[in-house]
Amino acid sequence: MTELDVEVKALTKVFDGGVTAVDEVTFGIERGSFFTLLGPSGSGKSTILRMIGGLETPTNGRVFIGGQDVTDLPPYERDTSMVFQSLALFPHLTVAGNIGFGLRMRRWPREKIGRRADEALDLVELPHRKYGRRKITQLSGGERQRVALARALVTEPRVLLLDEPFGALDLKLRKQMQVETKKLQQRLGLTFIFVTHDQEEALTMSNTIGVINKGRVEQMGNSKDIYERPATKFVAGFIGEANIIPGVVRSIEGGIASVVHETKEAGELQIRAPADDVGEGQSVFVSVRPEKVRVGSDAERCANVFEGAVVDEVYIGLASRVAIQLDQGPRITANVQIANIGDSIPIGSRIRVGWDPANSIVVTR
Amino acid sequence: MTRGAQGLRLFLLLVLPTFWLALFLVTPLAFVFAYGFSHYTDAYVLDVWPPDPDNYLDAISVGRGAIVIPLMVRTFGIAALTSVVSLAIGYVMSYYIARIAKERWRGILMGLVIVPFWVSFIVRIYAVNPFTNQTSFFHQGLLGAGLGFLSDWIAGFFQPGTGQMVVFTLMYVWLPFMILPLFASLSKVDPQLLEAAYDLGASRWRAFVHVTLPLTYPAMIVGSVLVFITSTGAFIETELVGGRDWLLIGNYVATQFSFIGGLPQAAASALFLILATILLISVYRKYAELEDLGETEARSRIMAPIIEMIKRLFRRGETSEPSPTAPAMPDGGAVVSFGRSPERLGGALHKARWERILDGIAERGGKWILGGATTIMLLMFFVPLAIMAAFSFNAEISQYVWGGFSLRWWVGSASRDGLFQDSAALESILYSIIIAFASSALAVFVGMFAAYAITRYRFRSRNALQTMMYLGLVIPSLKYIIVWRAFGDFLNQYVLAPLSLGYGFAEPIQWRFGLASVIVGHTTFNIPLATLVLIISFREFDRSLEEAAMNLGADEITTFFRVTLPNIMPGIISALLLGFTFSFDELPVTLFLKGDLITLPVFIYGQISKKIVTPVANAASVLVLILSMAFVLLTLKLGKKGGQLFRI
Repeated sequence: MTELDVEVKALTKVFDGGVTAVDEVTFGIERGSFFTLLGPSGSGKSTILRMIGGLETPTNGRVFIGGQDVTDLPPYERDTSMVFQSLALFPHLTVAGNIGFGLRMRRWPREKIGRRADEALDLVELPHRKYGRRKITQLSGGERQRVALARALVTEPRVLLLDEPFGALDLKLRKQMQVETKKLQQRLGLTFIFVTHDQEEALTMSNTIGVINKGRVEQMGNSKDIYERPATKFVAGFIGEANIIPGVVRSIEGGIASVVHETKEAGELQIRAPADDVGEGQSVFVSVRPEKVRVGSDAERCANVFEGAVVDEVYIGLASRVAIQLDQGPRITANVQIANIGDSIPIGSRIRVGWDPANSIVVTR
Repeated sequence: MTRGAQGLRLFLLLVLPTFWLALFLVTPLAFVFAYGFSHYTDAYVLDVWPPDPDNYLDAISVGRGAIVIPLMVRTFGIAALTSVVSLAIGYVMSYYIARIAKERWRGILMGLVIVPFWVSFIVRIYAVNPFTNQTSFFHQGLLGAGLGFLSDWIAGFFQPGTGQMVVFTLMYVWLPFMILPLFASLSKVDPQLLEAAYDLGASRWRAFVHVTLPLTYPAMIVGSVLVFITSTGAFIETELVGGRDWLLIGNYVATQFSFIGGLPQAAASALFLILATILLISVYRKYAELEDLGETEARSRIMAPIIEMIKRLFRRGETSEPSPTAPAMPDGGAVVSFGRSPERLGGALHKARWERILDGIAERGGKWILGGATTIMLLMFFVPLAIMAAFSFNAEISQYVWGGFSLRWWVGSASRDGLFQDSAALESILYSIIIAFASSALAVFVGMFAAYAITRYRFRSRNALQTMMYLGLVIPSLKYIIVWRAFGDFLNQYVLAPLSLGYGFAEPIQWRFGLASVIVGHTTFNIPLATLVLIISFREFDRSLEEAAMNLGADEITTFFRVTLPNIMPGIISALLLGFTFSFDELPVTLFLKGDLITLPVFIYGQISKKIVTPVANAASVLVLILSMAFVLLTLKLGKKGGQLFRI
């Protein structure tokens, strides 16, 4: 078994007002891995990170770093460094002063701090000759980002904590910083714990993702697992998009379950879906991604075929996103490739939709 | 809009404030300068021609018999000491209120700090009396409790006529000038910066020294300069507690004015004081601006060497202790690998012994120590006022011994009139209200033009206008007096007298000091204040609202009256009330401009200056107290800006 760098056990945080932000969270993070806590705002992911860094005291549970119980240690005695959401760069210090701060606290001699800070600046690709003496206010958003990263790395922490650090950057810069941060992590072999609400960011950067919702871990796994095998309705809906249809398993035959969605007005919709870990009579949700839904003549070859009316069409560049109101009740969103320029799917027209059971999944909660 | 139209508009906006300040602030300053060169002829007539540099030479002389320079040195020494003491006490209080006290207590605590500030300072100095006089009930109580040594110590330390009493009094009166900027600055420090410091290995104590403290340098300087400037101009304070040995330059200048023939010397020495003040204002403005911009680098460059020096002094004793991280460090210029190098340094944090002790204290007792100090200071503010109020109902004539409850000092007794029978006292209240109302309204009117121009336009004379504003704001009232009296006397002697006589009047027509001059004087010191408050309001006002109004078809005048004005109304109201309270409690300026007029503070001052002070003085003080507090509460209620006023 690989060594765990960070372990949290039954970590719980109840804030003064009685709000449970984190509820018995347990997980371990392998040494040298890029671990992401992904969840919507207010899900408690930042609180978990702050408890690992010692900036928040857990109500219950323990935090281990490198096998040592650090739950009761103050942040300055922990082997972690944090890149803050606001970056928290000291406005009264220069770039070099900011980066050297941690070393100054460790009472390094001045010359060594300077040299080391220069190296750290070069590491994040800000030439130290140009940037060292600048003020924080003279930096662009991306440059500040790098300074914050360098400041956290310069003390050689065992674990680097990143709290939505790219939130303020524009899309292009954000993508660039994602790639560079990932590269840096691979080069240094450090454990990174990254907090974000951006599922795409999480999917592209992480070795392991922990999906957090309402203070609990919904699912842990690698990007592919999380996207293709969501364990819960929440994960299916939060990571990417999904059509989620509730229903009851009526029968199981040859690994295929027949799930029935019933409404008073429109009657029954029978969906064939994979029958992993479900039993007859169980309430389930069938989840199918819009890009897996076929329309028109493509749909006819699928195991599930339904008919409905187009109620909305939105052009999204790569495809058109079409909303179809099925005759049996649910509304289905499908991504439709438009083969010829100028073609469109008129609203109100009748259309067939379909998908294969293998392209859908069934979750129980 | 064409360039010409804009120019005209700007001219119309600026003409009133510029004219007012130039006429009543800058011109008089020039007259003071000129008077410094004047002399009295044998017939006791003041003559400015030929210019006589003797007064200035006397003022800067350091030889035997020199008066001004030694007094200046003493004044600056006292003022510097007052600033340092205020800084220490003010920092503790503002730190507690801004960073430790619970959020819902913060506003209340700041209110408690500000309220005494609105109470006339003579009342406050007067209220401390029972604590310094050993015949008072307070000291008798201490003696009765067997704490005679404490009584001796307090009476000895806070003895009127000693240097420490002068410093204490000045600190006591002007402490809010220190607390307000510090509080504003400390509450602006982003808590995440401190978290970052902890995360990077700073202990509580070091995070304070390396992050919080440098971020508040500008506020420290702003507060110190304010207290310093105010202290250099003090003269009523020292007159009340300084005895004969601790009079300051302000007393000298004020006394010279009162003597016939003293004007040239007074003008010359006052000009020195003004020059020193202007010098300090430039320092002050620089840091006030830095504070505004969030620029912190420059100031740490100034403070860093001083701090480094102090640190070295302290370190000298510790050099024998080896630096424990030294051997663990990678040596030489070799490229250090980041990440998992064998000689990783994380975790291994060393705390010096003193640091461990300080952290321990900070963690366990910090809250209680700071909270305790703040409470003691607040008690020192309020207990004397409460006791003073109680003694206005004393049946005895004494300030120091309680003789039972009575209303005689309020409504009078068979043998003696009370406050409400004293027609001078009642008139003084009326005059005070008239003056306060007129001067604050005028100031807001003039300040509105200035604030509008300053926030909306960039113009070449903007700096000059702002300098005049700051000048008016920070020149101690003493200097106004000199400037004003000089101006008035000049008008009388060189303009009005020759003119009237030339036109055949039997008697020279003279401008008599009185109601009008007091109103103009008060307006002049209220204008900068009002402008400042209104600038804040104009800055906070969302200009897109105006654009929206114009987009909806309102012309500019309509937009101003229908959209802009209602939105800055809270600012206008708080400027009015602030000016009102300042004017209502004002003494030094009034004292010299009043002629025969008596205002309420002048009445109290008269009562307190009597050989035998009766509780009528208490009753009058309570009246000022109640009226001031009413205005304060109104200010706080009507305009949230009240609390932010001193973020100058």
